[in-house]
Amino acid sequence: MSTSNEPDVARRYAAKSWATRLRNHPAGPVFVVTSVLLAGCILAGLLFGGDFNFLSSPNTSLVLRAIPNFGLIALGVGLLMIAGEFDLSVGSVYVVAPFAMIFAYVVGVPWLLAIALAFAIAILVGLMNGVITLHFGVPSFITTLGTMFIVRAAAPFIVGYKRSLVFKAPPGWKEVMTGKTFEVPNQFWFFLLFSLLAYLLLSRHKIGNHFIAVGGDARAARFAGINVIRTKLLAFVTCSVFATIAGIFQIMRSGKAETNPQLFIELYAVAICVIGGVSLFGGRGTIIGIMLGAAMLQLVQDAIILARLPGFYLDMFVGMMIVVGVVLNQAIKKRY
Amino acid sequence: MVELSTAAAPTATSKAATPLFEARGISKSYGHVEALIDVNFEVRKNEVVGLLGDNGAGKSTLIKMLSGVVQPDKGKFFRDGVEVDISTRQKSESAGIQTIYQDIALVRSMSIMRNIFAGREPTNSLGFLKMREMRNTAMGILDEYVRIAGINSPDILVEQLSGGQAQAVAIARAVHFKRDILLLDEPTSALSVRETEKVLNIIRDLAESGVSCVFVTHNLYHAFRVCDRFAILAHGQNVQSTLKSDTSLNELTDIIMKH
Repeated sequence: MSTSNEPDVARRYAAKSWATRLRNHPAGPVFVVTSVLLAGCILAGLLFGGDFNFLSSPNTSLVLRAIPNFGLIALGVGLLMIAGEFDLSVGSVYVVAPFAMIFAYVVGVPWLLAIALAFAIAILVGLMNGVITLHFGVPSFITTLGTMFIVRAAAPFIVGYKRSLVFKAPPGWKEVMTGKTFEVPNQFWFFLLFSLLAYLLLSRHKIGNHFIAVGGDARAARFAGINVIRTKLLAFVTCSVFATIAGIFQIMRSGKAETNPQLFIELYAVAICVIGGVSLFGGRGTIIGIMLGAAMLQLVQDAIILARLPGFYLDMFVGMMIVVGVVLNQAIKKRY
Repeated sequence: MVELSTAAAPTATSKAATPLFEARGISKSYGHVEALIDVNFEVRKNEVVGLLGDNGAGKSTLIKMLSGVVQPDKGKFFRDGVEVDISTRQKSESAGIQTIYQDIALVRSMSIMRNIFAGREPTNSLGFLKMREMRNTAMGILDEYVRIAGINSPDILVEQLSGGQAQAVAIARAVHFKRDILLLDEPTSALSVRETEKVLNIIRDLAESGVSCVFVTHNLYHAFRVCDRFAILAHGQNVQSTLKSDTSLNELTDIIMKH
């Protein structure tokens, strides 16, 4: 058999047009849809002016602040899904960890220590999810369904329901975390930063390779010498940590911590991931896809609000996108 | 015919040097199914030993033990006459063993490059992958071992490969990271004729270059072509160990049929 003929190989490999490469990239479809959506919104904003205020400064700020809220959670959920597991308790951690942080802060714990407490809770919940799932062999979907309820009840258990704690962060913190830089809300810049970190972890780090391996084929990963349990535990913790980060940004923005859980936030996060091309079966997914999925979700929500359509249109849309996303997942699997 | 005495001490086989690797008194049960009963097995330097036997003989179980994936209920392992612990994949690798599994054991959703380095990624001090090194090495491996039309990039996902191509990648991976012993569990079962020839040649070349191979196969023709010695199992027990020079293909077939 002849050795690879360099010009031949280069031509054969570069033969795919950009359209084909886009179609084949896991985040290709969501990129196209989001771009079209964005273009549509901009166009409508230009054409209808006051009736569809997409381009106004308050609206763009709103959207750019909202994308990181779900997007940060989705990053964590997505990394865990790529590693082959689920976490439905993120919505509860998103509420409870920051609440505990503020609770400690208002009773006198130093700010930084309070932040450390929030992350300690995140790590604890992540480990709990991981240990129960891996040690007892319970599907993570079920485990975290349980921990979701347990964690959700923890804060009200201690301080009672419908408690909200108003607080004032130490000087500078609110401005840095919720101000604007170059007209863009800082939350969005931080989202880009965390997305970059997530990308570096997943695609450029050894741990990321292990995530993909254990999610794609845990048995093959084990035979290759990867410590499957340690890798998955790390993924569970990462997921809870991202949810905590999202929660902290949220309370900084609103100035108060609450014990009411925000409904369905975990399902929105999964929806974003599925829309963004993360496979429900593990081993497949990209950070850019998750980012685009978060953007698309917020664009749709914003468009629905601006067009003054009833709110359930959004739920309908999210539901449809999940189903479409799963069907596409299956189609991709069958192709090979 | 040479009968491998089950209770013999290593020094009893006076003309042979200490075996490179030895498994002694291996037993394993899954529930009340006895997969292996007091089995002895050895691998000598520069040899290709065929591990033969019909289905259910225990060959795969023995291989999995040697690669650290399964633990025996009873028995010991020796490397160069010294007892070793091979209870994990890493420890088995430290003892010099690389394995090619029957079902290929590559992660289908990952690229060839990521699969090759899974579990042994070259990284800098912070754990970040040395992408360029990985890519160059992967392309070198593809060039040298896997010159198959269609695999011209290490970024191709394993699920896009045919069974034979995937197995070739798995073999190339094991050969690249080879130490002293290569275990091949039915490596040619998914391969075409041409690919099979290539694998058989690789096995012979490896033995000549100082890597011993354990070749598990159903195909006695293939076994007879590349192996120096045959160890036969039946129903979880040793039946026989024979040098190729002392036997024939017909005789081997007869022995296996008889048990």
